[in-house]
Order: sequence, then C-alpha cells, then structure tokens
Amino acid sequence: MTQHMSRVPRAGRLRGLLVAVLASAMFVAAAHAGTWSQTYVSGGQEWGDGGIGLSAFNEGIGYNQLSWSYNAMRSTLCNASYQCYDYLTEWDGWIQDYAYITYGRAKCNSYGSYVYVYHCHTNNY
Amino acid sequence: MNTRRHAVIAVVVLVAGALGLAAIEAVEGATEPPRDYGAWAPGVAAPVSAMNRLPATAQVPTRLVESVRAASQATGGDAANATSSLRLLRNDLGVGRSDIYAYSPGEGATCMVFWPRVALCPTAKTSPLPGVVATFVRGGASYPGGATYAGLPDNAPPALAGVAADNVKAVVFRNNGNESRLRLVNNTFFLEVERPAAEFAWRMELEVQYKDGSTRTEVIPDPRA
Repeated sequence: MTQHMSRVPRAGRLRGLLVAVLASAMFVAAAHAGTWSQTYVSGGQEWGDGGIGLSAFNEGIGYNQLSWSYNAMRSTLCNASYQCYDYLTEWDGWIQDYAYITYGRAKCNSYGSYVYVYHCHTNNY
Repeated sequence: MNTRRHAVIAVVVLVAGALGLAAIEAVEGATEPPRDYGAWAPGVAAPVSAMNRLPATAQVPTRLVESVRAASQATGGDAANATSSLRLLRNDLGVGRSDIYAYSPGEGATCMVFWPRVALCPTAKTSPLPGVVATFVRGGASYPGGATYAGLPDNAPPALAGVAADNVKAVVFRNNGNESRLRLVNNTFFLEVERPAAEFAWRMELEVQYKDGSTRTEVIPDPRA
C-alpha cells in the first residue's frame, strides 16, 4: 500500500516533467520554425580562378559569409532560374553580404588563382 | 604477469589515443580560418585616427551589433573589444542613406561595416591596397532589409565605400574613364555610381595615393559578369 501510494505521485511527477519537456521542445521548435543555415563550402580548399560554391535552395536568404586568404572572392545570391544579383568582389579575406532574395541560393566564387577558401556560409536570418 | 600485460596495453592505448587526438587537432587547425589580421590592415599598417577621435556609437541596429560580434568571433578577435570600439564614421550617405561603421576586434585591425549592405574584415594575407578596406557594392533592390533593420530604397545606386588609414593621402575612382577624386572624411571615402546599361562595358579602378609618394591600384571587375 505504501509502495503503491508512493508510486502514484512519482508517476505523476514524471508525467508532469514529460509534458513540460515536450512543451519546451514544441516552443523551441516553433520559435525556430523556418530558420535555416548552411555552410556550403568548408574545410579549407585551394581554388583556381572561377571556382564556384552553391548552397541549397531556400526561402528568404539574407546573408552570405565568405572567408578566404589570398586574392579575391565574389558573393551573390541567385534565383531558381540561376539569375544572380551583381557580384560583390572583395580582397579583404572575410565578408558578410546582407543581400536578400525571397527564394534562391547563395553563391561564392573565387577570383584569381590560388584562392584558399575557408568557408562559404549562408542563412535565412 | 597478466596485470603487467594489461598495464602495458593500457599505456599503449592511451598513447595511441593521445597521438590520434593530436593528429585530429593538427588537421582541424590547418583548415581553420586565420586567427589574425593582415599586416596590411588599416589600424595595423598605419593608424586610423578617427577611431580614437570619435565618440562611441550610442544607438546601433541590433542586426549590426550581432554582425560585429559574429565577425569578431569568426576572425579570431574579441567580441567585447569589437563592440566597445564600434564607431560611426559617416552616416546618411547618398540615396541609399547608408552608414559607414568601423571597429577593432583585435590587434588594432580595423573592420568596416557599410550598413546595411556588407561587412568586411582584413584577414587576407595580402591586399592590393595596403591600409585600406573597401567595397564596391550593388544597389538597393538587393537589400530590402529584414524584420530587425531597415533596408535600402530600391532606387539606391551601386556604391563604393571604404576606410583608409592615416597614411593615405588621396583616393581616386575611375568609372568607364570618368575620374573622381574622393573626399576623405573621418578616414572614409564614399561614392554612388550609376549602373551602366547591359550593352555597355563597365570598367572601374580604385587608385590609392599614399603619403610616402607611392600609388597602388585595384581593378574592380564588372559586377555583372
């Protein structure tokens, strides 16, 4: 009897805890619904002139971050028909391009030889 | 005997594990972004005096602050240094009403934000224009803004913007043969440029003249190609 009585509250507490965890998970999922990011080039790669990285397609892409050393990289966003905004060409080694496209993909592109690309990363912030 | 053999095996396993971890860290380290800024960076190659002269920036868009923090972390700098050093060097520029901010994430290097279009940090090993971070960036239709910040008007033309260290005497921009000598204000330069029709070529050059008498030129490739 004592055992039975002690088990009921514990089960209740566990159920309560489970509900709280599920509710938290649902809240977090709802808060992050639609957020997406992708590192579409990574690991350090040496590219020749005209090397291209392309992200997956997504809605509301508003950010393209590129990191490299030596020579230049170009950033743009392209729609589903591969029509792209004008390129942003930079020699500085690290950029964040705040261009926005309602649906499309991010692109990074080496300009010049021996471009060492650290990463190209995009999100739909 | 068994105990001794087990001890030897344990030591071998531990040493092998440690060597493996060291090898993994070495490989990962080789592919990490650079942890410092270029010796050519403004603020490293020569001071950027406006950064010391101007007051701290009071009201900054949230998205911009997030960008500054992310940039400093991604480039090996310090987020607290970066945000406390943030300065608005020039504001309300041109049709796009853009702003030029600068900050130092570490080692004295100066990063630039041409808000709300692009942020740059001088991490490359070399640069065609030492002492200068510069960008030639597309017009308003590509920058509508977002939920946390205002974008550009659609009719904002493409623009050139940059931060030049104190060792720069003059900045000259050539656009299809038309030459503009740019004003240096608070270590910055800025110019809006009309985008030529598609059937016309677009040749641009940025020339930097230094106080020591030297000159360096960067050819800006046609942004449409």
